[in-house]
Amino acid sequence: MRKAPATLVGAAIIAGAAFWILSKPQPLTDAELSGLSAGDATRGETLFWAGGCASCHAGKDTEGDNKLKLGGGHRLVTAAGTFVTPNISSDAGSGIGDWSGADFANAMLRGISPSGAHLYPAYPYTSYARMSVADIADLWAFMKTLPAVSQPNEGNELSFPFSISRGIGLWKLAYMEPDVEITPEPTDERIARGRYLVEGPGHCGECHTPRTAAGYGGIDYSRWLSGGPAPEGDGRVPNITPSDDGIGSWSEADISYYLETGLTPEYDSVGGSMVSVQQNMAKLPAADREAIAAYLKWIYPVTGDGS
Amino acid sequence: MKRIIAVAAAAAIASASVAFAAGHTDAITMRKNGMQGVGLAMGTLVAMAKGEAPVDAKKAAGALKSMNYVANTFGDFFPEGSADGDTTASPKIWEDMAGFEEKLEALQTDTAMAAMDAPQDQAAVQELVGMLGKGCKGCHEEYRIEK
Repeated sequence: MRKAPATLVGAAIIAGAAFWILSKPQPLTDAELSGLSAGDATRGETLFWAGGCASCHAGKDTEGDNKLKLGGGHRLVTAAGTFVTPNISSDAGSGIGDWSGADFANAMLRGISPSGAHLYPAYPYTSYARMSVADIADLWAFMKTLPAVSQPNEGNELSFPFSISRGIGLWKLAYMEPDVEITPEPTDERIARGRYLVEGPGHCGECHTPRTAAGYGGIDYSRWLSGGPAPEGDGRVPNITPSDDGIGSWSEADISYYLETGLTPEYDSVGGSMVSVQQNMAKLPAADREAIAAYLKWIYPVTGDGS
Repeated sequence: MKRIIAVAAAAAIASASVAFAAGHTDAITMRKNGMQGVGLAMGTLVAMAKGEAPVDAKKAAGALKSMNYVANTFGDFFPEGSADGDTTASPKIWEDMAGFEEKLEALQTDTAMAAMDAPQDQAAVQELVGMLGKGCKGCHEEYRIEK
C-alpha cells in the first residue's frame, strides 16, 4: 500500500481537530444560570402542558394522572433511525431524579445532558431554548413533584452518520438559533403571549414548518408554520397559517375551540399525533388557548403545504 | 333547513351504499361520504352544546341515528387494496383490522345508546359531544395518517 501524502494526513488531522472544537457542547454560563430560582410548581404545570412533555415521555394512550408518569420508552421511528424516549420521571436510577436545576436548564436550553453530551433534537430543545430561565425554574419545580417511575429503557437505534452524537454539535452550530426572531415583536400583549407559547414551549414549528437540508436541517423560517412532512409515518402535518392553504377560514374562536375540544369548524376531529398535543392544550388556561389563536391569526399567511 | 340537510345526507349515504354494493362507487368515496355525514350530525350537536341552537332532543336523536347508520355500515368500505389512492386511511387499519373494528363497534354502541336516551339540556349535550369526540379522536389518532 502506498503511503498517504503527508499533506493529506495533515489536512485530516486539522479537519478532525476542527470538528472536535466546533462540535464541543456549550453549557450555560454561571451568569446565564443566575436567574434559576427555586421556581413555582403551579406556574410550572402550565408550562408542562404547553411543552407537551407527556406526549413523548408518558405511556402511550394514557389518560388522567397517568400522563404524569414520565417513564418514557416511546419508539419514534424516523428516517434517521429509531429514537427511544428517555425516562424523565423523578426516579433517581432510571429517570432524572438526581439532576440539579442547572442540569435541567442545560437540557432544555442547550440540549446537553448532565455528562456534557449532546442530546438529539428529536427532543425539541431548539424551541425550548426560547423559554426564559425563570420559566425553566418553574417547570423544574413542577417536574420534581411528579411520581418516580422505575423503568430503564433501551437506547436509540440510529444509522450512521446520525449515530455520531458529536455531529449534533455541528448541526446545532448551523441550525440552533434561539436568538433569531421568527416573527417581529408584537405590540398586543395577548399575541405576545401566544407567540411565546407557540415559538417556545409549544414547539409547534418543529412539525408544522418545513425544514432545510432535505428535511434534516433547521426550520425554514420563511415558511413558518406552513406545514411539513409527518416526522413519523405517512401523511403531512398541516399548514396552520391564516392562508387559503392553511386555516385562514377559521376564526379565533374556532381555533380556541379546536384546541379545547379537538373538533374542527367542519366537525372533523383532531387525529394522529395531534390528538395528544390537543389533550395537552386542553389543560391550559382558556386565556392561553385564546392567545395561541390570536397569534395564529396574526402571523404571515403562507401558501402551500410545506413541500 | 338543517334537518333537510341531515335527511338529504342520510339519503345520499343510503343510496351510495346501494351503489357501492352494486360496484358502482369506490370504497374511498364511500368512506369520505360516511365521515362527512358523521361530521354533519356532529355539527347539529355541537351547535346545541355551544348554545348556538336551542337544545332539541328529537333533533339530537336524529343526528345520533344518522351517525349510528354510518357506524353500522362504515366497516364495509375497507376492502383489501383500498389503502391506496386519495385517502387518509392509515395502512394500520389493514394491519390491525381487529383493533379498528373494536373502535368502530364502540361508535356503534355509543351512538345507539345515546339515540335512545337523547340529551334534554345543554349540559347533557356538552357531555355527549365530549364523549363522542373522544371516540372520534381515539380512532383518528391511530387509524388516520397525519393530514
